[in-house]
Amino acid sequence: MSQTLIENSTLAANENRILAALSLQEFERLAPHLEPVSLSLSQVLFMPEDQLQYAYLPTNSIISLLTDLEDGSGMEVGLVGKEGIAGVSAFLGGRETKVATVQGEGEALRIRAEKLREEFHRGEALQTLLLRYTHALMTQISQSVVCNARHPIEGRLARWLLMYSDRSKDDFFLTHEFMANMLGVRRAGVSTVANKLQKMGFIRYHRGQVTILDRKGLEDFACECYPKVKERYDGFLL
Amino acid sequence: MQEAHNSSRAASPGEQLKEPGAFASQREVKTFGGLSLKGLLANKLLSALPTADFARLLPHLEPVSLAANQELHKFGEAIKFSYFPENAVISHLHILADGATTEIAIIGREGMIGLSAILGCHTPSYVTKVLVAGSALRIRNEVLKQEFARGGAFQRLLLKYASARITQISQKAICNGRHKVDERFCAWLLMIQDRAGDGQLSLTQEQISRHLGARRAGVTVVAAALRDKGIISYRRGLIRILDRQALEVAACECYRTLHSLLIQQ
Repeated sequence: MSQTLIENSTLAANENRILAALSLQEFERLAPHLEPVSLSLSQVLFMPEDQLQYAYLPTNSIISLLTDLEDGSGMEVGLVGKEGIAGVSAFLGGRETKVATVQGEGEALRIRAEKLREEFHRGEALQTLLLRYTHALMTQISQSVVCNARHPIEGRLARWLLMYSDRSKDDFFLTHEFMANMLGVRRAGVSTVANKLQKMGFIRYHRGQVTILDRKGLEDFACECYPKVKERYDGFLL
Repeated sequence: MQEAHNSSRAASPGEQLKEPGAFASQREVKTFGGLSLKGLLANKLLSALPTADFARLLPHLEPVSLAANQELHKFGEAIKFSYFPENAVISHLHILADGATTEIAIIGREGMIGLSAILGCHTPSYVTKVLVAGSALRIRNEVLKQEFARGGAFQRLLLKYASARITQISQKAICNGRHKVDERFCAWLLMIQDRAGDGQLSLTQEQISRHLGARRAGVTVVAAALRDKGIISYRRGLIRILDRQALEVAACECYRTLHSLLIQQ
């Protein structure tokens, strides 16, 4: 690979927290295998039962993880942004069991699953980081377990919007399908919930375009699930 | 397994621990008419290990008797032991700020308690409580991590199990979001029975509502309906499944989905 390509990869890679936490030596070994890709909105990266080809490390894109039901409907259970990696089966083994869809278009670095597995099994910093990330991911999904049982729908939407904006900005576009799948409601029900948050002054919402106006207010309003998981994610690299 | 347990006794909670290695003299890996001893182990993860890997762990596996409602890890405390359940059934319970609880996962002989330690987290944010009393094999986390770090069969097994656990909790997330209390209750009972074996389950309505994250009134109605249909008997906090097939029909698909995962493992 040319020097410029490596430099560009390096710049991009620094935006992904897992890659940024590697030692220079480990990163240089990985760099030739990290391919910068552009992910477009609603692109499906992998599905259940897929033998994973690539794992994805977002730099400014956002990927959602959805569990599906027998009737074809599904529910979002987690988000992956620049803090993480989509495709943990690359190093955990087994098959993927969730649908990974691009919800925030942008850039990512992709790596062949076998290559990542090979690097993982060297037992160095990458392994430690990926295992810690796995735990953070489990915590995020576990929180959805609790949240979906216990918390009112508006609080749950608030939580998801905050989680999303943590990985993106305060102003973003979400498809109706994505929002419906976050909440486990039909598409028609999405506007009702979003408008409630708008009425309370926390967000501006128009046809999927979300702007967070009062972040503090939204955080206070969101259920406790939000700070609990954020704490874990902020700490996982330590 | 009978051979292994004859000369060792279960440590009761709070009892003084022997030094690891003290168990080695009491148990040996034997072949028994060509069938290796470890094949008789109840815990599926351990029984899937190659003999050499298992032989290394064996001296450090302490049989314990877990009592109902026993807390294996205190909230916020660093975890010292991991457990491989045999017929004990264990819950991870999330506790909310208002004291309400919701179950995140139930773990029995298909799995182990202690993934957090392997993944580098020593203070999980949930409580680990015994749901159904029974036996398990306990191991010190230093030993567990040492064996994991070898990067061999044990590591591969535990990583695969971590993947299965993620699938289990993902299914639970969608279940809690989309399915009703009655079908969730049925799925939950079936999952417990798969792990605890046949027989009665000692569960109060309070416990059921805490584990399902549902209102107690809802649980009462659901339990009564199942009892009236003759699907379960439920008296004085003891549940027995009378018609398993009917319970499977009444359960949400999450039971089927997770059950097939269990078999695949």
